[in-house]
Amino acid sequence: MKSKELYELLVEENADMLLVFLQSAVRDRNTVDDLFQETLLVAWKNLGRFDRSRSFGRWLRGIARNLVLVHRRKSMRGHILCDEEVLEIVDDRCEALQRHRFDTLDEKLAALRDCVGGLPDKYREAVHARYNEGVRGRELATRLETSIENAKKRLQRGRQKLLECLERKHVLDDEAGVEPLRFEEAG
Amino acid sequence: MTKSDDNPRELIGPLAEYLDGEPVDEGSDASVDLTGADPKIVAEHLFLDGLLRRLVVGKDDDVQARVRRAMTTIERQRRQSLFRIVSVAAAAILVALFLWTTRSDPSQALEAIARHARAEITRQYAIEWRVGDSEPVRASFYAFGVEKMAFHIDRIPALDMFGVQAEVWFGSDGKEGWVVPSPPMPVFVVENAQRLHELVARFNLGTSFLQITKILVALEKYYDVKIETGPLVREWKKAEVPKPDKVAYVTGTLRPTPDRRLPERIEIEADFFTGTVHRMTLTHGEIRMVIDLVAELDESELALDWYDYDTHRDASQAVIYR
Repeated sequence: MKSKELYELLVEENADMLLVFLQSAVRDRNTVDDLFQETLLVAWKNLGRFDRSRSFGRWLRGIARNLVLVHRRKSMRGHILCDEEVLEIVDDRCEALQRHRFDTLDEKLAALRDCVGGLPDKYREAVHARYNEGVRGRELATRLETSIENAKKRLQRGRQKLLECLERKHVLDDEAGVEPLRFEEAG
Repeated sequence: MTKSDDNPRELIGPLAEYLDGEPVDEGSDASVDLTGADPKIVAEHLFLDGLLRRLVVGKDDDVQARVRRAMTTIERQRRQSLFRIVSVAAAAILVALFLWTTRSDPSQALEAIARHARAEITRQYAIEWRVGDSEPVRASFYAFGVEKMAFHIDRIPALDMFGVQAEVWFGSDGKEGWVVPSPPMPVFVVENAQRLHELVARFNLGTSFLQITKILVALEKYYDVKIETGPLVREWKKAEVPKPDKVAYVTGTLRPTPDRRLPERIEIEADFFTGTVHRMTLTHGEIRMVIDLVAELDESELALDWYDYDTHRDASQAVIYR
Protein backbone atom coordinates (compact mmCIF):
# COMPACT_ATOMS: atom_id res chain seq x y z
CA MET A 1 0.00 0.00 0.00
CA LYS A 2 1.31 3.44 -0.90
CA SER A 3 2.17 5.76 1.98
CA LYS A 4 -0.45 8.30 0.87
CA GLU A 5 -3.21 5.69 0.89
CA LEU A 6 -2.14 4.38 4.28
CA TYR A 7 -1.97 7.91 5.58
CA GLU A 8 -5.53 8.52 4.39
CA LEU A 9 -6.71 5.37 6.16
CA LEU A 10 -5.04 6.38 9.40
CA VAL A 11 -6.47 9.87 9.14
CA GLU A 12 -9.96 8.46 8.59
CA GLU A 13 -9.56 6.32 11.70
CA ASN A 14 -8.65 9.34 13.78
CA ALA A 15 -10.50 12.21 12.14
CA ASP A 16 -13.51 12.07 14.44
CA MET A 17 -11.46 12.40 17.59
CA LEU A 18 -9.37 15.13 16.01
CA LEU A 19 -12.58 17.05 15.42
CA VAL A 20 -13.70 16.49 19.00
CA PHE A 21 -10.37 17.84 20.16
CA LEU A 22 -10.57 20.91 17.94
CA GLN A 23 -14.20 21.56 18.82
CA SER A 24 -13.24 21.37 22.48
CA ALA A 25 -10.51 23.91 22.01
CA VAL A 26 -12.04 26.28 19.49
CA ARG A 27 -15.57 27.62 19.26
CA ASP A 28 -15.63 29.17 15.80
CA ARG A 29 -16.65 26.57 13.20
CA ASN A 30 -14.62 28.13 10.40
CA THR A 31 -11.52 28.11 12.58
CA VAL A 32 -12.17 24.45 13.42
CA ASP A 33 -12.39 23.69 9.70
CA ASP A 34 -9.18 25.55 8.93
CA LEU A 35 -7.25 23.95 11.78
CA PHE A 36 -8.50 20.49 10.81
CA GLN A 37 -7.24 20.92 7.26
CA GLU A 38 -3.98 22.47 8.38
CA THR A 39 -3.35 19.67 10.86
CA LEU A 40 -3.64 17.05 8.13
CA LEU A 41 -1.36 18.99 5.80
CA VAL A 42 1.31 19.53 8.44
CA ALA A 43 1.08 15.87 9.48
CA TRP A 44 1.57 14.72 5.90
CA LYS A 45 4.61 16.91 5.43
CA ASN A 46 6.12 15.66 8.67
CA LEU A 47 5.18 12.02 8.32
CA GLY A 48 8.83 11.07 8.28
CA ARG A 49 9.20 12.38 11.82
CA PHE A 50 6.36 10.32 13.23
CA ASP A 51 7.45 7.93 15.95
CA ARG A 52 5.82 4.66 14.90
CA SER A 53 5.71 3.41 18.47
CA ARG A 54 3.25 6.18 19.36
CA SER A 55 -0.47 6.51 18.81
CA PHE A 56 -1.15 8.13 15.45
CA GLY A 57 -4.23 9.89 16.81
CA ARG A 58 -2.29 11.43 19.66
CA TRP A 59 0.38 12.57 17.22
CA LEU A 60 -2.26 14.24 15.04
CA ARG A 61 -3.78 15.98 18.04
CA GLY A 62 -0.33 17.07 19.16
CA ILE A 63 0.06 18.87 15.84
CA ALA A 64 -3.45 20.30 16.22
CA ARG A 65 -2.63 21.50 19.74
CA ASN A 66 0.42 23.38 18.48
CA LEU A 67 -1.61 24.93 15.69
CA VAL A 68 -4.31 25.99 18.17
CA LEU A 69 -1.70 27.64 20.37
CA VAL A 70 -0.11 29.39 17.39
CA HIS A 71 -3.54 30.54 16.27
CA ARG A 72 -4.25 31.85 19.74
CA ARG A 73 -1.03 33.82 19.82
CA LYS A 74 -1.71 35.31 16.40
CA SER A 75 -5.34 36.13 17.00
CA MET A 76 -6.11 37.62 20.37
CA ARG A 77 -9.66 38.12 19.18
CA GLY A 78 -10.09 34.46 18.39
CA HIS A 79 -12.46 32.05 20.06
CA ILE A 80 -9.69 30.02 21.61
CA LEU A 81 -10.39 28.89 25.11
CA CYS A 82 -7.46 26.85 26.25
CA ASP A 83 -3.94 27.13 27.44
CA GLU A 84 -1.36 24.41 26.85
CA GLU A 85 -1.99 22.50 30.08
CA VAL A 86 -5.74 22.40 29.44
CA LEU A 87 -5.17 21.16 25.90
CA GLU A 88 -2.96 18.36 27.16
CA ILE A 89 -5.70 17.20 29.49
CA VAL A 90 -8.28 17.40 26.70
CA ASP A 91 -5.90 15.33 24.58
CA ASP A 92 -5.67 12.73 27.36
CA ARG A 93 -9.45 12.56 27.43
CA CYS A 94 -9.57 12.14 23.65
CA GLU A 95 -6.98 9.38 23.83
CA ALA A 96 -8.93 7.57 26.54
CA LEU A 97 -12.07 7.76 24.45
CA GLN A 98 -10.18 6.72 21.32
CA ARG A 99 -8.90 3.64 23.13
CA HIS A 100 -12.34 2.69 24.34
CA ARG A 101 -13.48 -0.71 23.20
CA PHE A 102 -16.09 0.66 20.78
CA ASP A 103 -14.94 1.03 17.20
CA THR A 104 -16.55 4.19 15.93
CA LEU A 105 -17.05 7.54 17.54
CA ASP A 106 -20.76 7.11 17.03
CA GLU A 107 -20.67 3.97 19.15
CA LYS A 108 -18.57 5.75 21.71
CA LEU A 109 -20.98 8.65 21.74
CA ALA A 110 -23.87 6.26 22.30
CA ALA A 111 -22.91 6.27 25.97
CA LEU A 112 -23.16 10.04 26.03
CA ARG A 113 -26.49 9.84 24.22
CA ASP A 114 -27.72 7.45 26.91
CA CYS A 115 -26.50 9.82 29.60
CA VAL A 116 -28.31 12.76 27.98
CA GLY A 117 -31.46 10.64 27.77
CA GLY A 118 -31.13 9.81 31.44
CA LEU A 119 -30.88 13.41 32.62
CA PRO A 120 -33.72 14.79 34.72
CA ASP A 121 -36.15 16.66 32.46
CA LYS A 122 -35.14 20.19 33.36
CA TYR A 123 -31.46 19.53 32.63
CA ARG A 124 -32.14 17.52 29.50
CA GLU A 125 -34.32 20.31 28.12
CA ALA A 126 -31.59 22.85 28.81
CA VAL A 127 -28.89 20.71 27.18
CA HIS A 128 -31.11 19.90 24.21
CA ALA A 129 -32.08 23.53 23.64
CA ARG A 130 -28.48 24.69 23.93
CA TYR A 131 -26.77 22.07 21.80
CA ASN A 132 -29.44 20.75 19.46
CA GLU A 133 -31.11 24.04 18.72
CA GLY A 134 -28.34 26.50 19.50
CA VAL A 135 -30.54 28.52 21.83
CA ARG A 136 -28.64 30.74 24.23
CA GLY A 137 -28.88 33.50 26.80
CA ARG A 138 -32.18 35.24 27.20
CA GLU A 139 -33.84 33.11 24.55
CA LEU A 140 -32.79 30.00 26.44
CA ALA A 141 -34.28 31.40 29.63
CA THR A 142 -37.52 32.15 27.82
CA ARG A 143 -37.63 28.67 26.36
CA LEU A 144 -37.08 27.12 29.77
CA GLU A 145 -39.51 29.60 31.35
CA THR A 146 -37.03 30.65 33.97
CA SER A 147 -34.49 33.37 34.68
CA ILE A 148 -31.22 33.67 32.77
CA GLU A 149 -29.25 32.78 35.85
CA ASN A 150 -31.36 29.72 36.43
CA ALA A 151 -31.06 28.65 32.81
CA LYS A 152 -27.27 28.87 32.98
CA LYS A 153 -27.30 26.95 36.22
CA ARG A 154 -29.33 24.16 34.62
CA LEU A 155 -26.87 23.89 31.77
CA GLN A 156 -23.93 23.71 34.11
CA ARG A 157 -25.54 21.14 36.32
CA GLY A 158 -26.63 19.19 33.26
CA ARG A 159 -23.07 19.00 31.96
CA GLN A 160 -21.79 18.11 35.38
CA LYS A 161 -24.23 15.22 35.59
CA LEU A 162 -23.20 14.07 32.13
CA LEU A 163 -19.56 13.95 33.19
CA GLU A 164 -20.48 11.92 36.25
CA CYS A 165 -22.61 9.61 34.11
CA LEU A 166 -19.75 9.01 31.65
CA GLU A 167 -17.43 8.25 34.52
CA ARG A 168 -19.90 5.76 35.93
CA LYS A 169 -19.92 4.06 32.53
CA HIS A 170 -16.09 4.05 32.52
CA VAL A 171 -16.10 5.68 29.11
CA LEU A 172 -13.33 8.06 30.05
CA ASP A 173 -11.21 5.64 32.06
CA ASP A 174 -7.64 5.37 30.84
CA GLU A 175 -7.72 1.59 31.17
CA ALA A 176 -11.10 1.17 29.54
CA GLY A 177 -10.04 0.43 26.04
CA VAL A 178 -7.72 -1.45 23.81
CA GLU A 179 -4.33 -0.49 22.45
CA PRO A 180 -4.32 2.57 20.21
CA LEU A 181 -3.93 2.18 16.48
CA ARG A 182 -0.25 2.03 15.64
CA PHE A 183 1.47 3.21 12.50
CA GLU A 184 3.11 0.12 11.11
CA GLU A 185 3.64 0.34 7.38
CA ALA A 186 3.99 3.81 5.98
CA GLY A 187 7.47 5.04 5.30
CA MET B 1 -12.35 31.63 37.77
CA THR B 2 -12.26 29.26 40.73
CA LYS B 3 -13.98 26.17 41.90
CA SER B 4 -17.08 26.76 43.96
CA ASP B 5 -16.92 25.45 47.50
CA ASP B 6 -20.04 23.36 47.41
CA ASN B 7 -19.35 21.75 44.05
CA PRO B 8 -15.76 21.18 43.00
CA ARG B 9 -16.68 20.62 39.34
CA GLU B 10 -18.80 23.69 38.88
CA LEU B 11 -17.51 26.45 36.69
CA ILE B 12 -17.96 30.07 37.48
CA GLY B 13 -16.72 33.14 35.68
CA PRO B 14 -15.93 33.74 32.02
CA LEU B 15 -15.62 30.12 30.95
CA ALA B 16 -19.03 29.30 32.42
CA GLU B 17 -20.46 32.28 30.58
CA TYR B 18 -18.82 31.12 27.41
CA LEU B 19 -20.08 27.56 27.64
CA ASP B 20 -23.56 28.90 28.24
CA GLY B 21 -23.36 30.62 24.93
CA GLU B 22 -22.92 34.10 26.28
CA PRO B 23 -20.34 36.50 24.89
CA VAL B 24 -17.40 36.63 27.27
CA ASP B 25 -17.34 40.37 27.16
CA GLU B 26 -20.35 42.19 25.83
CA GLY B 27 -19.80 42.70 22.13
CA SER B 28 -16.42 41.05 22.15
CA ASP B 29 -15.03 37.76 20.89
CA ALA B 30 -11.97 38.00 23.08
CA SER B 31 -10.31 34.86 24.44
CA VAL B 32 -11.42 33.63 27.81
CA ASP B 33 -9.11 34.50 30.66
CA LEU B 34 -8.26 31.25 32.41
CA THR B 35 -6.16 32.82 35.13
CA GLY B 36 -6.73 30.95 38.37
CA ALA B 37 -8.84 28.24 36.76
CA ASP B 38 -8.29 24.60 37.62
CA PRO B 39 -7.01 23.19 34.30
CA LYS B 40 -8.52 19.77 34.92
CA ILE B 41 -12.00 21.15 35.49
CA VAL B 42 -11.72 23.49 32.52
CA ALA B 43 -10.53 20.61 30.36
CA GLU B 44 -13.36 18.33 31.48
CA HIS B 45 -16.00 20.89 30.65
CA LEU B 46 -14.43 21.79 27.33
CA PHE B 47 -14.12 18.15 26.39
CA LEU B 48 -17.74 17.51 27.26
CA ASP B 49 -18.76 20.63 25.36
CA GLY B 50 -16.85 19.33 22.34
CA LEU B 51 -18.46 15.91 22.67
CA LEU B 52 -21.94 17.37 22.93
CA ARG B 53 -21.38 19.51 19.87
CA ARG B 54 -20.00 16.48 18.03
CA LEU B 55 -22.99 14.44 19.16
CA VAL B 56 -25.37 16.98 17.69
CA VAL B 57 -23.57 17.83 14.46
CA GLY B 58 -22.14 14.37 13.89
CA LYS B 59 -24.97 13.16 11.70
CA ASP B 60 -24.71 16.22 9.46
CA ASP B 61 -20.94 16.49 9.47
CA ASP B 62 -19.33 14.42 6.75
CA VAL B 63 -15.92 13.77 8.25
CA GLN B 64 -14.93 11.70 5.24
CA ALA B 65 -15.59 14.72 3.05
CA ARG B 66 -13.30 16.80 5.25
CA VAL B 67 -10.59 14.17 4.94
CA ARG B 68 -11.06 14.00 1.18
CA ARG B 69 -10.71 17.77 0.93
CA ALA B 70 -7.45 17.62 2.86
CA MET B 71 -6.16 14.76 0.73
CA THR B 72 -7.04 16.68 -2.41
CA THR B 73 -5.07 19.64 -1.11
CA ILE B 74 -2.15 17.36 -0.28
CA GLU B 75 -2.22 15.93 -3.79
CA ARG B 76 -2.34 19.41 -5.28
CA GLN B 77 0.62 20.50 -3.17
CA ARG B 78 2.54 17.41 -4.18
CA ARG B 79 1.98 18.31 -7.81
CA GLN B 80 3.04 21.89 -7.14
CA SER B 81 6.17 20.62 -5.42
CA LEU B 82 6.88 18.44 -8.41
CA PHE B 83 6.29 21.38 -10.69
CA ARG B 84 8.81 23.47 -8.76
CA ILE B 85 11.33 20.67 -8.66
CA VAL B 86 11.01 20.16 -12.37
CA SER B 87 11.17 23.90 -12.96
CA VAL B 88 14.44 24.19 -11.14
CA ALA B 89 15.69 21.03 -12.76
CA ALA B 90 14.82 22.46 -16.13
CA ALA B 91 16.72 25.63 -15.36
CA ALA B 92 19.76 23.71 -14.26
CA ILE B 93 19.64 21.40 -17.26
CA LEU B 94 19.58 24.35 -19.56
CA VAL B 95 22.48 25.99 -17.81
CA ALA B 96 24.36 22.73 -17.98
CA LEU B 97 23.59 22.32 -21.63
CA PHE B 98 24.76 25.81 -22.28
CA LEU B 99 28.07 25.18 -20.57
CA TRP B 100 28.24 21.83 -22.24
CA THR B 101 27.34 22.51 -25.81
CA THR B 102 28.55 26.02 -26.55
CA ARG B 103 31.39 25.10 -28.80
CA SER B 104 30.66 26.35 -32.28
CA ASP B 105 30.85 30.12 -31.86
CA PRO B 106 33.26 31.88 -34.15
CA SER B 107 35.05 34.02 -31.66
CA GLN B 108 38.31 33.18 -30.01
CA ALA B 109 36.77 33.43 -26.59
CA LEU B 110 33.98 31.07 -27.37
CA GLU B 111 36.42 28.71 -29.01
CA ALA B 112 38.25 28.69 -25.73
CA ILE B 113 35.04 27.79 -23.99
CA ALA B 114 34.59 24.96 -26.45
CA ARG B 115 38.13 23.69 -25.96
CA HIS B 116 37.61 23.70 -22.26
CA ALA B 117 34.38 21.79 -22.64
CA ARG B 118 35.88 19.17 -24.93
CA ALA B 119 38.76 18.27 -22.68
CA GLU B 120 38.16 14.76 -21.39
CA ILE B 121 38.81 15.47 -17.77
CA THR B 122 36.47 15.54 -14.82
CA ARG B 123 35.34 19.05 -14.05
CA GLN B 124 33.30 19.92 -11.00
CA TYR B 125 31.74 23.30 -10.34
CA ALA B 126 29.49 24.85 -7.76
CA ILE B 127 26.92 26.92 -9.60
CA GLU B 128 24.38 29.36 -8.26
CA TRP B 129 21.50 31.10 -9.97
CA ARG B 130 18.88 33.53 -8.88
CA VAL B 131 16.00 35.36 -10.49
CA GLY B 132 15.52 38.94 -9.38
CA ASP B 133 15.72 39.19 -5.61
CA SER B 134 14.79 35.56 -4.99
CA GLU B 135 16.96 33.35 -2.86
CA PRO B 136 19.72 31.77 -4.94
CA VAL B 137 19.64 28.09 -5.83
CA ARG B 138 22.93 26.25 -5.61
CA ALA B 139 23.90 23.21 -7.58
CA SER B 140 26.91 21.04 -8.29
CA PHE B 141 27.82 20.49 -11.92
CA TYR B 142 30.00 17.58 -13.03
CA ALA B 143 31.25 17.16 -16.57
CA PHE B 144 33.53 14.80 -18.46
CA GLY B 145 34.32 15.89 -21.97
CA VAL B 146 31.34 17.09 -23.92
CA GLU B 147 29.22 13.99 -23.62
CA LYS B 148 28.94 13.15 -19.96
CA MET B 149 27.55 15.48 -17.38
CA ALA B 150 25.59 15.43 -14.13
CA PHE B 151 23.90 18.14 -12.15
CA HIS B 152 22.88 17.98 -8.50
CA ILE B 153 20.65 20.32 -6.52
CA ASP B 154 20.46 19.30 -2.87
CA ARG B 155 18.17 22.03 -1.62
CA ILE B 156 15.45 23.99 -3.34
CA PRO B 157 14.68 27.16 -1.34
CA ALA B 158 11.24 27.53 -2.92
CA LEU B 159 10.19 24.27 -1.25
CA ASP B 160 11.42 25.14 2.25
CA MET B 161 8.21 26.92 3.15
CA PHE B 162 6.31 23.72 2.41
CA GLY B 163 8.61 21.69 4.63
CA VAL B 164 9.73 19.71 1.59
CA GLN B 165 13.35 18.73 1.38
CA ALA B 166 13.90 17.83 -2.23
CA GLU B 167 16.94 17.07 -4.30
CA VAL B 168 17.32 16.49 -8.02
CA TRP B 169 19.98 14.83 -10.15
CA PHE B 170 20.01 15.12 -13.90
CA GLY B 171 22.42 14.73 -16.71
CA SER B 172 23.59 12.52 -19.51
CA ASP B 173 25.90 9.53 -19.94
CA GLY B 174 26.50 10.58 -23.54
CA LYS B 175 23.74 8.35 -24.86
CA GLU B 176 20.75 8.87 -22.60
CA GLY B 177 19.52 12.03 -20.92
CA TRP B 178 17.88 11.64 -17.52
CA VAL B 179 16.26 13.37 -14.55
CA VAL B 180 16.29 11.74 -11.11
CA PRO B 181 14.12 13.60 -8.60
CA SER B 182 13.71 12.61 -4.94
CA PRO B 183 11.73 9.42 -4.30
CA PRO B 184 8.94 8.55 -4.72
CA MET B 185 9.05 10.51 -7.97
CA PRO B 186 9.98 8.36 -10.97
CA VAL B 187 13.13 8.72 -13.02
CA PHE B 188 12.68 10.15 -16.53
CA VAL B 189 14.99 9.04 -19.31
CA VAL B 190 15.30 9.99 -22.98
CA GLU B 191 17.14 7.53 -25.16
CA ASN B 192 19.07 10.12 -27.11
CA ALA B 193 21.13 12.54 -25.06
CA GLN B 194 20.54 15.23 -27.63
CA ARG B 195 16.83 15.01 -26.75
CA LEU B 196 17.41 16.18 -23.22
CA HIS B 197 16.04 19.51 -24.37
CA GLU B 198 12.90 17.66 -25.44
CA LEU B 199 12.65 15.91 -22.11
CA VAL B 200 12.60 19.29 -20.45
CA ALA B 201 10.12 20.62 -22.96
CA ARG B 202 7.81 17.62 -22.46
CA PHE B 203 7.15 18.78 -18.94
CA ASN B 204 5.34 21.64 -20.62
CA LEU B 205 6.34 23.99 -17.86
CA GLY B 206 5.76 27.23 -19.69
CA THR B 207 7.95 28.98 -17.16
CA SER B 208 10.47 31.64 -17.80
CA PHE B 209 13.15 28.99 -17.42
CA LEU B 210 12.13 27.36 -20.65
CA GLN B 211 12.75 30.56 -22.50
CA ILE B 212 16.43 29.93 -21.99
CA THR B 213 16.26 27.04 -24.41
CA LYS B 214 15.23 29.34 -27.17
CA ILE B 215 17.76 31.90 -26.08
CA LEU B 216 20.65 29.54 -26.37
CA VAL B 217 19.50 27.83 -29.51
CA ALA B 218 18.77 31.12 -31.22
CA LEU B 219 21.70 33.13 -29.92
CA GLU B 220 23.26 33.57 -33.31
CA LYS B 221 19.99 33.66 -35.16
CA TYR B 222 18.23 36.39 -33.24
CA TYR B 223 20.96 38.30 -31.43
CA ASP B 224 23.63 40.73 -32.34
CA VAL B 225 26.62 39.27 -30.56
CA LYS B 226 29.52 41.40 -29.42
CA ILE B 227 32.65 39.97 -27.87
CA GLU B 228 35.12 42.09 -25.98
CA THR B 229 38.01 41.44 -23.73
CA GLY B 230 38.89 43.48 -20.73
CA PRO B 231 39.93 43.34 -17.11
CA LEU B 232 37.92 41.49 -14.54
CA VAL B 233 35.60 44.13 -13.15
CA ARG B 234 33.94 42.47 -10.21
CA GLU B 235 35.53 40.83 -7.22
CA TRP B 236 35.44 37.18 -8.20
CA LYS B 237 38.27 34.76 -7.62
CA LYS B 238 40.70 37.37 -8.81
CA ALA B 239 43.53 35.48 -7.19
CA GLU B 240 42.69 32.34 -9.17
CA VAL B 241 42.20 33.95 -12.56
CA PRO B 242 45.56 33.63 -14.33
CA LYS B 243 45.30 36.96 -16.13
CA PRO B 244 42.47 38.98 -14.64
CA ASP B 245 43.20 41.73 -17.13
CA LYS B 246 41.85 39.61 -19.96
CA VAL B 247 38.34 38.36 -19.44
CA ALA B 248 35.93 37.64 -22.28
CA TYR B 249 32.64 39.55 -22.21
CA VAL B 250 30.02 38.28 -24.61
CA THR B 251 26.95 40.44 -25.05
CA GLY B 252 23.92 39.42 -27.07
CA THR B 253 21.33 42.07 -27.93
CA LEU B 254 18.03 40.88 -29.28
CA ARG B 255 17.26 41.91 -32.82
CA PRO B 256 13.67 42.90 -33.64
CA THR B 257 11.62 39.70 -33.41
CA PRO B 258 7.96 38.85 -32.94
CA ASP B 259 8.88 36.43 -30.15
CA ARG B 260 8.54 38.57 -27.06
CA ARG B 261 9.55 35.74 -24.76
CA LEU B 262 13.20 36.02 -25.66
CA PRO B 263 15.30 38.03 -23.23
CA GLU B 264 16.39 41.39 -24.50
CA ARG B 265 19.96 40.98 -23.40
CA ILE B 266 22.38 38.14 -22.67
CA GLU B 267 25.69 38.77 -20.96
CA ILE B 268 28.37 36.15 -20.53
CA GLU B 269 31.57 36.59 -18.60
CA ALA B 270 34.22 33.93 -19.24
CA ASP B 271 37.86 33.27 -18.60
CA PHE B 272 39.56 34.18 -21.88
CA PHE B 273 42.22 31.50 -21.58
CA THR B 274 40.41 28.54 -20.06
CA GLY B 275 36.98 29.22 -21.52
CA THR B 276 35.30 28.73 -18.15
CA VAL B 277 32.05 30.68 -17.95
CA HIS B 278 31.98 32.66 -14.69
CA ARG B 279 28.65 34.35 -15.02
CA MET B 280 25.69 34.49 -17.36
CA THR B 281 23.05 37.19 -17.00
CA LEU B 282 19.72 37.23 -18.80
CA THR B 283 17.61 40.38 -18.80
CA HIS B 284 14.03 40.47 -19.95
CA GLY B 285 12.14 43.63 -19.08
CA GLU B 286 12.45 43.97 -15.34
CA ILE B 287 13.35 40.30 -14.85
CA ARG B 288 17.02 39.54 -14.42
CA MET B 289 18.40 36.02 -14.05
CA VAL B 290 22.00 35.61 -12.96
CA ILE B 291 23.84 32.30 -13.17
CA ASP B 292 27.19 32.24 -11.41
CA LEU B 293 30.02 29.79 -11.28
CA VAL B 294 30.70 29.97 -7.57
CA ALA B 295 33.73 27.76 -7.41
CA GLU B 296 35.62 25.07 -9.20
CA LEU B 297 35.37 22.02 -6.98
CA ASP B 298 37.92 19.37 -6.28
CA GLU B 299 38.77 17.91 -9.67
CA SER B 300 39.40 14.40 -8.48
CA GLU B 301 38.44 11.84 -11.08
CA LEU B 302 34.99 10.32 -10.81
CA ALA B 303 33.99 6.90 -12.04
CA LEU B 304 32.29 7.17 -15.40
CA ASP B 305 29.12 5.58 -14.02
CA TRP B 306 28.70 8.86 -12.15
CA TYR B 307 26.95 10.02 -15.30
CA ASP B 308 24.46 7.12 -15.32
CA TYR B 309 21.03 7.69 -13.85
CA ASP B 310 21.19 4.36 -12.03
CA THR B 311 23.98 5.68 -9.83
CA HIS B 312 21.72 8.37 -8.43
CA ARG B 313 18.34 6.71 -8.23
CA ASP B 314 16.78 4.90 -5.29
CA ALA B 315 16.07 1.23 -5.87
CA SER B 316 12.36 1.92 -5.29
CA GLN B 317 12.10 4.52 -8.06
CA ALA B 318 10.43 3.57 -11.29
CA VAL B 319 12.11 4.51 -14.56
CA ILE B 320 10.03 6.07 -17.31
CA TYR B 321 11.47 6.14 -20.82
CA ARG B 322 10.36 8.90 -23.09
